[in-house]
Amino acid sequence: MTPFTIVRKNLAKRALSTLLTIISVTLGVALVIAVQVAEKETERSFNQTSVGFDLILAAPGSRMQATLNTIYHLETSTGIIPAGVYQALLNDPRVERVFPFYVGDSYRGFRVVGTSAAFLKEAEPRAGSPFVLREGRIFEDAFEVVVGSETAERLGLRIGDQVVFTHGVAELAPGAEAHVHDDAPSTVVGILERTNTANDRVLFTSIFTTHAMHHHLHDHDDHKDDHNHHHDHQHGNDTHSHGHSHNHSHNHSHGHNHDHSHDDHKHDGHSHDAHDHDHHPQKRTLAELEATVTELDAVLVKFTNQALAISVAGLLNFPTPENPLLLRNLQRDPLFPFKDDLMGVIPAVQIKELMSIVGNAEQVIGAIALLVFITALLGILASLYNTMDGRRRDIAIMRSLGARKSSIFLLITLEAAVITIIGCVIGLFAGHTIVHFASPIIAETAGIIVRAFIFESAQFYTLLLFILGGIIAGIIPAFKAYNTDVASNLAP
Amino acid sequence: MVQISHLKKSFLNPADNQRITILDIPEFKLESGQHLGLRGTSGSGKTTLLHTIAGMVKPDSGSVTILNQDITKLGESQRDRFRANHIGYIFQSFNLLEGFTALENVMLGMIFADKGARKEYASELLDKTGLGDRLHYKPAQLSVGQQQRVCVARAIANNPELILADEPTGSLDAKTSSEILDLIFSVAEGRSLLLVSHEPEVLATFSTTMDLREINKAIAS
Repeated sequence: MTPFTIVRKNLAKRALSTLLTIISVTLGVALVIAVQVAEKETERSFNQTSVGFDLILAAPGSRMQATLNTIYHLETSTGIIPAGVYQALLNDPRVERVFPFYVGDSYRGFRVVGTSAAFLKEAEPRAGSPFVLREGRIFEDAFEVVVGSETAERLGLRIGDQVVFTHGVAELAPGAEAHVHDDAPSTVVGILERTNTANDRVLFTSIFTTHAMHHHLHDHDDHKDDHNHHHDHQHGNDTHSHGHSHNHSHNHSHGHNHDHSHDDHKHDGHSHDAHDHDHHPQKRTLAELEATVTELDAVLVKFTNQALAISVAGLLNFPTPENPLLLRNLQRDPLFPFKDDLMGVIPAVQIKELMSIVGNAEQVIGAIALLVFITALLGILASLYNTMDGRRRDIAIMRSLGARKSSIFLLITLEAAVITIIGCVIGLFAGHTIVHFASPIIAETAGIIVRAFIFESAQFYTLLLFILGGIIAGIIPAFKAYNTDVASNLAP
Repeated sequence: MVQISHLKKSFLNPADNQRITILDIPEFKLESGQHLGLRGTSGSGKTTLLHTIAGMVKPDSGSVTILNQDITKLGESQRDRFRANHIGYIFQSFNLLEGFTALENVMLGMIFADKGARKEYASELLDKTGLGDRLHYKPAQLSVGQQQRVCVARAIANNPELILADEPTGSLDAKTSSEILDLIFSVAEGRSLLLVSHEPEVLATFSTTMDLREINKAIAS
């Protein structure tokens, strides 16, 4: 027999009270752990000190929306920009790297991001950490896909799998049917290692692939309704509508004038009949095919000097100066012709703003978790304290058998610790189970992949804090037990 | 074995806020290996005397020397430890822990002593007291006589030199009383035994008896 036997017996004797207290602790721990996991994953998703580029060039609109769209793969694009922007920057001596960005399709709820192969080779989703292939290779041809780690795990994708994209990335309007590019399957050629960024939950392909889908759609609609269709683009809180003409100064391979409002990528119920377009042109290289792309959602730029990002953003975002000297200087900038089509967004500034919003939410959640924590500990205190009157005789018997006051104190404290530890262990798994079941809902509503059953040291520190708190909560009843008078509580 | 000198113990009466002297014992001795039956009526301070000898109650003054150790000079935890190692206590109402089996109750008597809990020895003691087939019975599943047997086994679990018994047959019928007394005498062989009772039949089994009034001046006055 050990002190634990006595504790076990005492807890079993008050089984219902013990059970209710354990449930109370379990719920408290589960909630705190669930919040902690969700918080950690949110922070992991959003808090990127470096995103591998200095400036986002996107259609004028909400800067936060452009940031969410290009870095976090959330929200919709602010609109379409001419692909000439990308071409213009390719040979710009100020530019170290430039990547195109074009989204419009998804595969089973995961976004398909059109970009260049260079993005996967040169971009750094985390400072100093470029993308690493877990297996396979980077796409080299049209209709080839490189899959982010989370996407691959969730969908069970493997090299060689055929994926058929669905048109649009946002929710479909009620009654609308998703348009599936079932005539244009792409092949998984590579799977990326986890980066712990939003890039883990997308599929990367060439801009040509994503563009071909749209181009194809537009051609198709052109036949059907004289190419006069409307795309309803919702911009979240920043809804705006702008008539967007695709009649830019650069060459459009499809050579027609889109006259539609780009408020969203929510394509509500296009009807697309079967068609027999060749989606797999083999004669031209991917680079040649990409050169035919006419429109993008954004261009991501890494300058040779970070300060250049600020000056380019200034050129695009501030009104055209009237001073002829200044104007002449600005007109030399290869981006000047696109000034009206673009805004410059410095991602570092937006991320900082985003983190301050996330930080505020974390503080509120943290305060709630603290209250839950305190409530659970008060539950232990109340549960043990209330039993003390009924346990005086037992305590007196043990004292008469030679138990020291300190032994009684330790036994009661140990009871509190055991209740807390059991509650903590069950609560830890319950918390992760909550996250596990909430994960699809969070992914759907917030676009954040929250992974359950990843046990990190911070969670164990929380449990240690709980156990310590439980022991402290046990001290008051333990003191009451400590001061139990033997002679007066002992039956003759 | 036990030597009491000028022992005084009083309690505060909450009714009139006056102190009532319960014990006033100028001199008392229990020799090593002696079995003494102490006659005491209800309210004569017999339980307080046993509690004081056991170190559960600290006297106002005087000394209680057991095995050459004045336990009134010891701190509370030292008295607890002394009690666990050297004194066995048999109660009238058994004072067994309800949630524990007979075996566990005996082991509970061991756990606070220096030697610690020894399951086999506890089983052996219960076997000796006639409860070898009731080791895993809880008090509620045992008769009162069997409960007192567990209490006796627990009292000798740490092989104490002194056994204190407070009305050990007070809750038992005559037949069971006789059996329990036989058991107590049997286990007390070679040890000192101080048994207090108001029952003449019980005291009649002792070769040496004493009336508490003879030694406790608080009652005499």
